[in-house]
Amino acid sequence: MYVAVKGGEKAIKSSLKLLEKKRKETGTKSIEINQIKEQLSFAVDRVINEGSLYDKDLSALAIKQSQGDLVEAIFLLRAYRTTLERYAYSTAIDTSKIIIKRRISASFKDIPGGQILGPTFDYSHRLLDFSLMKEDEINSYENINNQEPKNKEFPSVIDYLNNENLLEQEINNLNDNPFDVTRDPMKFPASRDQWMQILARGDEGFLLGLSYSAIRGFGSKGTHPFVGEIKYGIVDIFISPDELGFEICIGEIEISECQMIDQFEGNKNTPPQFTRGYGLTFGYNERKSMAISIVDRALKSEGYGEEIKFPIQDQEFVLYHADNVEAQGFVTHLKLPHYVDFQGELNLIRKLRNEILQGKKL
Amino acid sequence: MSEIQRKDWISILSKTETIDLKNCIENINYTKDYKIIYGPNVGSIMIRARLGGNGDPYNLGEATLTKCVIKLEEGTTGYSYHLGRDKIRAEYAAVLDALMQDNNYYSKLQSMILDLKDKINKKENHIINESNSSKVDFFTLVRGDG
Repeated sequence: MYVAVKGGEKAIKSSLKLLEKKRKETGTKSIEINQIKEQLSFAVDRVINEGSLYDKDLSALAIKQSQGDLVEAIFLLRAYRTTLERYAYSTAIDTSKIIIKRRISASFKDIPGGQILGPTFDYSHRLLDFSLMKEDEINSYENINNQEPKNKEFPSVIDYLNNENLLEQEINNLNDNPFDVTRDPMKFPASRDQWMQILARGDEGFLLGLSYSAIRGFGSKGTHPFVGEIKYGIVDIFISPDELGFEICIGEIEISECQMIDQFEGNKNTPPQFTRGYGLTFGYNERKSMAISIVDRALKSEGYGEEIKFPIQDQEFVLYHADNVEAQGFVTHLKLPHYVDFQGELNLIRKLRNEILQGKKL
Repeated sequence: MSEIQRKDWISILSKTETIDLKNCIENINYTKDYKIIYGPNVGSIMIRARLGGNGDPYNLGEATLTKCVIKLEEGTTGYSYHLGRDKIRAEYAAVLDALMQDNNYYSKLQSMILDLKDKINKKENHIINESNSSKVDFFTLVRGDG
């Protein structure tokens, strides 16, 4: 039975007003979009990834509008994305041609180009900095050194292992038409291009938890993976428009990349070797790129003939639950009126109880 | 002065700020009317990456992209595709792309475009130098008599 109920218009109007009022309760200064972009850059970068739209201004706007609820901000960005006409597909980005901002390897100490720490919380003391409580003005760093650097090249670290055949090679099947979750329905078994796109836009917390489970023993082998290389920096984006007939650069974006090295015992066809997990994100998102690389490796289990025992290896479990826009939609729909459904449940329980209780009396 | 290929000036324009593009047009006193053929409109581009960094392509996620096509009075057509949503910037870039194809304007703009290229290089150098300042110098302690 479906009963249409009208009403609540006044209440809804007032609710929206209260929501807006919450943002400016005591009349503090409005935050500028640029302030969010610079001073909350990690939040901005998280939202462009899970919103799956690289636009830092819109991400900052979404964070402001959602009052810092990042899942809500991601939802806003996703909704905006659907209004855009898609003009082009880029040439696949070449992460070896990167303007480096950070680059480290946990597997090799001495790497050509060196270990470059860049901006990281890793070596901070993790003590609250109370001076930020009343920071008046932010001075920009004027120290400019634009001399030609001694070194601009940062060759891929894992190529060392490649040279010795100790590392699994990427197989190039020349697939020019990769899966696109915004247009194609999910299919199983999923191909790697499918899961890499879904992981890139997946919830960081969910992927972090999954990757943690794997290295605690609920993973393919319960082993300890090694960071071959982590990179963060700027890459050019290229397209080849039909009307021009040649490839052009259309701007640049920031990316974070993680090459994870994992063990493999070998099988009938392959001697023991290292296998790879790969993680790539928009912006500066090192933690997520690491989590993706571990989940990527676990999802490859089936291809190696490994036993599928744990959630992280289960394609349907991972891919159907990684998206936080879908997840929050389904979980929070429970708060919408279910009066009639619940009335039905209530009647059923009453009836069952009555039957049992009356039966006992007899 | 080195010749600039169209592919290269489009790349330079794509990394140049609105104000610098505007200055180029103003510096050569180009005041004629041009016709807007398309846009400037905001759409999206699907950015692709490679599995494992060097394998098959996959779809990483989208980015906003602004497209503009203009036609000069002289008849030359200029294009621009820029990441982001800056419509004014895209329009200036399309005008400059058209002007650069015209030999007369090319000779006036050439040095300015090369300056813009220099500015981009210097900005990149600055980022790399800044990064290199956080490069780790390992030193090894030798223990025992060796």
